[in-house]
Amino acid sequence: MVCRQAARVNRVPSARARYACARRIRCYPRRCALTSSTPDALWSSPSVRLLRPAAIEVRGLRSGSGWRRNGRGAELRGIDLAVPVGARLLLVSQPESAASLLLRVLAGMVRPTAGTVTLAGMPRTDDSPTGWRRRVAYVPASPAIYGWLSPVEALFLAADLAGMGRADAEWRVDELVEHLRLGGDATRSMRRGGPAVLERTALGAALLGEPEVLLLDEPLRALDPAERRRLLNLSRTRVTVVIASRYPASEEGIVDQVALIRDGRVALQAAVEELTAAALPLNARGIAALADAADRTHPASS
Amino acid sequence: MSRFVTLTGMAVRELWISFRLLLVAGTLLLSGLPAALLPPVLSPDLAGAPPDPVTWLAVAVAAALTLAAAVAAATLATERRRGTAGWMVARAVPRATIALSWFAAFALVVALGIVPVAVVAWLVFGPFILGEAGALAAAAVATACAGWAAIAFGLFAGAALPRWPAAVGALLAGGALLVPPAFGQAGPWWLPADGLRVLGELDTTARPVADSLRAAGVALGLAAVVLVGAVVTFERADL
Repeated sequence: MVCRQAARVNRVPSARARYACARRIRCYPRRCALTSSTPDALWSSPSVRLLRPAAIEVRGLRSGSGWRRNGRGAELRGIDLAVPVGARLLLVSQPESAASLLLRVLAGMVRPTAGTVTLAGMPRTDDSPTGWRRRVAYVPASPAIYGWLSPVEALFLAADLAGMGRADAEWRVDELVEHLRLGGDATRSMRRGGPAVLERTALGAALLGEPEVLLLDEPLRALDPAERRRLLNLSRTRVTVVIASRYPASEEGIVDQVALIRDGRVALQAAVEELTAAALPLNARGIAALADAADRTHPASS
Repeated sequence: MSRFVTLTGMAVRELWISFRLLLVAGTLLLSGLPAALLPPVLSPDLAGAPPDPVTWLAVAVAAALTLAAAVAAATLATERRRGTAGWMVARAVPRATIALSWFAAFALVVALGIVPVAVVAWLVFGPFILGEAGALAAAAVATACAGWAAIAFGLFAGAALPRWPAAVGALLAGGALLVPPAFGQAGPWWLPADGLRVLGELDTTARPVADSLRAAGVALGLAAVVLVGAVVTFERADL
């Protein structure tokens, strides 16, 4: 069952319409977006799990040529990665900036020199306003929003840029301010609120458009661990989350997959359970050890 | 279109809060000082005589527009560097819209800054020196168009270079483009800053309106070409 009104007008419905639809017919809101029309019952069924498309598909991705190009010395030398819809993937890299570079390439901030990228089922080459950009949200390690804006103003700006109507925007911003627990900081300038308010606002702006893929680079580092965990535990099952982190242990319970980028290539992509089964901790050494073990077992695959 | 308007408003607000709007508009307004302070007639017809106040007015306006171009370059380079442009791009805003909104913001400031300069010049010199008001208005329009071309150069530099190299590059390019004509150096008809020459020689130019309109057209054409280059460069830049 899909949102009939949305189907009739053949466009992505507003946020309010999606949620109203969700409450009325007890469906997941995302389904009302015509791009992912698979019914939830089918979606969650183990028998069709194999049919799940990849939210992120990267083939032979190359980017960066040292300090001159990206300023951080990282380089991607042929990344192959497939992230299934709904996965929460932790990206760890050696050097650490390679994971950030991959997210920046995926988010369209850095142009790749080779390779293909498919995001939310759409090729990254489709730069049209209705293309992949509408479905992918990116939060950089140091979010850069004008400091003189208040969080509410920044969220309204993001809603405006996303093409939301005023009523929808007000409703959604109210919801996000409550969810992000911005409280009294919501109407003060972010410059006065500090980095925690800035990071909450950046996450809120990313969630505002209800993305299908969420790319988070060292997210919410200014928050305390419990609050960070609460905000990063996204309840919506179909949002695919990729987190680049230098502190993998802090992502425990948030992610269900890990990937290691080493020497510009994906050296490992595995479920967190594999780490647990191998009695390895969820940290950089543990992930590297699992990658080494996988190398020894299947040397050709590396 | 609504996004463009929103971003232009944001750009103007950012310019205001960071005092850059004050810098650009204030410098333009101050460029009217030669007109207000120097004595109106200094026997400009004598050989070897110093430039008259109207010429100094044109030179001051050219310098102010050059500074505006440098500020535009530094602004776009800073937007790239600190990630605010990236934040907009992550909101699915086309990069071209971002670059064009910054151009619109600076163009607005320049256009609004030139109006009081022209009014001051008219009040000080009057019709005996400047001729008809229409001639001064046409020269002011041509000057604003030359300023827009310089700003387009600035944005091009800001899209391609880091902040300081972009600002210095825009300063040099803008200065080379705008200042010589302001001193009355006649060049070929296709010079985009010919409006400044007309402004500096309003009392002696035979066809000020026609020359100004031609210069305005050339400047607008150049601004469009350079702006396309800036947008293409910004599209390819890493954010």
